[in-house]
Amino acid sequence: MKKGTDVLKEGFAKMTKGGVIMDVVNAEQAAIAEDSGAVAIMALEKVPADIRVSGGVARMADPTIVEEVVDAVSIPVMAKARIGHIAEAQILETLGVDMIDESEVLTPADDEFHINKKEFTIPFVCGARNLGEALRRIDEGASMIRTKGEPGTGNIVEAVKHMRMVMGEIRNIQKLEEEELWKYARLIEAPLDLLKKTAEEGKLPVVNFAAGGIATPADASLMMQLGSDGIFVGSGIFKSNNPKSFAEAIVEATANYDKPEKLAEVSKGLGEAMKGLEMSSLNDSDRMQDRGI
Amino acid sequence: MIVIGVLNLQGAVSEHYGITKKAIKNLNINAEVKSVRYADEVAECDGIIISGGESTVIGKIITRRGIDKTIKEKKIPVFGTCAGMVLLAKKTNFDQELLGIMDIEVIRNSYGRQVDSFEKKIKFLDRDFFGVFIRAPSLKDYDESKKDIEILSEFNNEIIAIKQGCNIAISFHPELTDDTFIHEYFIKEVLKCVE
Repeated sequence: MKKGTDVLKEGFAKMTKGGVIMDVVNAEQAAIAEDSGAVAIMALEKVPADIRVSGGVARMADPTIVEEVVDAVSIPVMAKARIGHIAEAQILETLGVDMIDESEVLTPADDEFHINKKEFTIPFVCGARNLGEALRRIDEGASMIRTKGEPGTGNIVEAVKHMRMVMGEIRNIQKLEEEELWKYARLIEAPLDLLKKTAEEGKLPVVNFAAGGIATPADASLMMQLGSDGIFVGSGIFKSNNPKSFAEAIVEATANYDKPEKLAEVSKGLGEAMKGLEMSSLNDSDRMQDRGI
Repeated sequence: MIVIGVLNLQGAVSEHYGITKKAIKNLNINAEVKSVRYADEVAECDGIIISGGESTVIGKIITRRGIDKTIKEKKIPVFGTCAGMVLLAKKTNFDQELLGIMDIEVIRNSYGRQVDSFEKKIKFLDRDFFGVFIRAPSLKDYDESKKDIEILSEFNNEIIAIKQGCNIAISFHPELTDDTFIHEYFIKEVLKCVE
């Protein structure tokens, strides 16, 4: 009997395709998320919007919160570790978390190296803004990729930029000849074998979700139409006026992303979405997406 | 000609689609695989495959779209893997929406969390098969009075594949392998049931 193989780790990610993964900070929110049709939940101490406001160093959630959430639901539970923080990841694995998000939302612990994710039994998801970043993370052992977007802003523009970037690059490399792929791999600092595999298959070698700034059902549909395998919603649900309705509407919108009449129906009378931030109002030091590239 | 529909709602759908296509080619029969999302598309199929994924999520969409009604009314054969097995069951250890067309009781996440997910060589109808178990369910019980139930595979004294009439439930993921054996088996069963 074998555990922690690539088939099992990447397979776990495949089981979440077409679904919505929601950020929660306690058991009560976890239950609302599961009830609304979340495919998995992300246990955190604070949602990204609150991390922005509070400032300081953002770390892995208190194990009490993680355990509380793990016990509260029957669906998979993910949790965030700081970039490069091997010990936080080890703790999360011990707590029974099903997948670790090595996340730029938290303050990086290592500004040069990511975690060697191959050493863990449970799978990891990592953020990426472009193909080079995505393939570097996969090379380190990530079993799932998500766009970085700009977390906690409720502004979809950066997630769109990152998804279009990755998808556009994949379309382009499919036209390249072998010699051109050698050069392109050097240019984007990506491992050649993974770049070739991506070119051959016309898609990333692992599941690719959208994250960072998704605040409405229409946002979820937009990301699915751009080619996302599924959706992470951070602050968008529990920072809205009516979390239960928003959660249900975003799940419905993800399942019906190509049916505008259904999207119109689920978007009606939802109440106020999270307020959101304009990108130009962020200082360079506030930008989470530039961490761990 | 028969049509095998892969229910495209949530989970490892494209993997099932790909391996079903290969299975049809191997069998060299007049069949087609389609990705289906709504009740009217399901109604056009001779067999339906329900992928692994989250049974709570797939169950909600199946009920909301009336897909459960269509499958029951038209008695369409269903092949379910992992979450698909959960949905085929009449009863689980969790309050959730089910398709409920097999007289079996299933326990979700029976082997533990993702850290306990495992690969293991198993037997399916006495043939070796590479079993991929991800947060897998297990069969707690089945109705022994039902004469149309047949055990297809056991491992560690637990039933991991079971058939009732034209429906097949298995707790692991053949769609994550390159082996078309189980998919071919389902397609051949559909052919028998269509007749």
